[in-house]
Amino acid sequence: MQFTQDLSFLHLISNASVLVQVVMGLLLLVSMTSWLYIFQKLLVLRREKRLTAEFEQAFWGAANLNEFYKLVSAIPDAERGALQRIFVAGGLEFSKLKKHALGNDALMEGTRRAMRAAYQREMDRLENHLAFLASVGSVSPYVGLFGTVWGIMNAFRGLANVGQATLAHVAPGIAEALVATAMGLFAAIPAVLAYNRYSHDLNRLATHFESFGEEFSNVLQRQP
Amino acid sequence: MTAAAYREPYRAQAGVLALLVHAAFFTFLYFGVSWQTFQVESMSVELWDGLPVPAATGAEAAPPPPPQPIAPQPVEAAPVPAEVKPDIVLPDKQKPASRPPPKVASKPVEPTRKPSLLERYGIGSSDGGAASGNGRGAGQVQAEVARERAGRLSATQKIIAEYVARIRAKIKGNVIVPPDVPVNALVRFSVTVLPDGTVMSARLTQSSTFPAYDVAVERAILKSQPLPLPQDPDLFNNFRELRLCFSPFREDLCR
Repeated sequence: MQFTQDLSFLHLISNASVLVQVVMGLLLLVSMTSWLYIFQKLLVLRREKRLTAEFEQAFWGAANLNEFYKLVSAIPDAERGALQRIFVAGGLEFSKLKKHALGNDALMEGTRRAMRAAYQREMDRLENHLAFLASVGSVSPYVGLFGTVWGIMNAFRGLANVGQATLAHVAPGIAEALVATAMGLFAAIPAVLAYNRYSHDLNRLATHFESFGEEFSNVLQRQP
Repeated sequence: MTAAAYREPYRAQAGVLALLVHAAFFTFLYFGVSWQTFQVESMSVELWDGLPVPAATGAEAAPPPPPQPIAPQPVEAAPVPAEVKPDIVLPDKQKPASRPPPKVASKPVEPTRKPSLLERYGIGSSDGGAASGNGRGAGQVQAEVARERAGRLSATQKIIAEYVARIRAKIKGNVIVPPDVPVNALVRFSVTVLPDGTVMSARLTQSSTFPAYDVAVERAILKSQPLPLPQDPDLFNNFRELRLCFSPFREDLCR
């Protein structure tokens, strides 16, 4: 009765019970989505940081603010960075209000409100999907654990039907079940890392945007 | 430009990268992880199934065995001094022809040239048949064979008894008798033994009602591996399933 147990990976998955397979499928889906967002955010944030740095350099190096504004507003919207949009929103509002010949305070107030609104919108866009990464990071280990517990329960129930119980009877079942935990962790660990990394990056970007907004309003106030 | 109209850039690239990550991960799992458990087969049974017959002729020629097998020799020689001669001559003639097979076929038997009961008995009967063709009375041969058989039987029984005693002595030496064991404590074990003397299982068949002593004896049985077994593989069948009885103070209870 020479028998070998081939515990290859596919074997483990195909032998698992239906519920464990469903859990594994769910986790695979979640993992795919979270990796999609991880890469997407990585690319988006990298681009945003590059554009912000470039724009700040160009803004402080610009000799004429009007010229610079025209230059930036000529860029198509899809190619603008968040900070450029904030700048354009502020500049547009300023030029509009100026035509109404309001008082200086009201003028500055309106411009700042417009920039604030643009800033909120940009932050909302950049933060998009970050909550998903956070939930994947916290929930998917539990989902995997649920699959594992279920699989182990089944393994032990099978053990009860065997007269002479040996480790060989339970071990494959437990190994199958543990694959669910492994998948949950595989989904969770990168999600948590990415979430922490990206929220840190976003905080820094937000600080940049806010301080730029204040500085830009100062510049506008000095405008004749 | 509303939030709905806004589409996150890099979606396709991110999707491809995510797929790549998963593909890499699963490739790693598929090729890197394949646990294989080989059930080690501990039972190597009946290696010497057909051996007694070829070994029989060689057995006559080589008499360098431990003391026990020598004992039967005079017994068998005594009752039939004259007629035995052709019996011995015949196998001697066959010897050169039939000797190689045991060497090739059965290594374990080769070193143990002792005349075992079964082997001898096999020869006795077949040679007896040949001899009867030479003009001996069949009844005489039968009686002779029966007597021989009786002699051999008692001889092997002696060997078996001796080895059982050795096994018991070895185990007894390893028993650490726990304190406060009742004087008339008695345990019986059924011990399954492998040909090399390893204990495959020791099953308690009668408890001494003093669990500490039961456990001590079981531990001693396991500690006594390999158990002393006779070199003759044919005798092993008698040791396959040993029923052993132990008593810490009163050996006479076991009889």
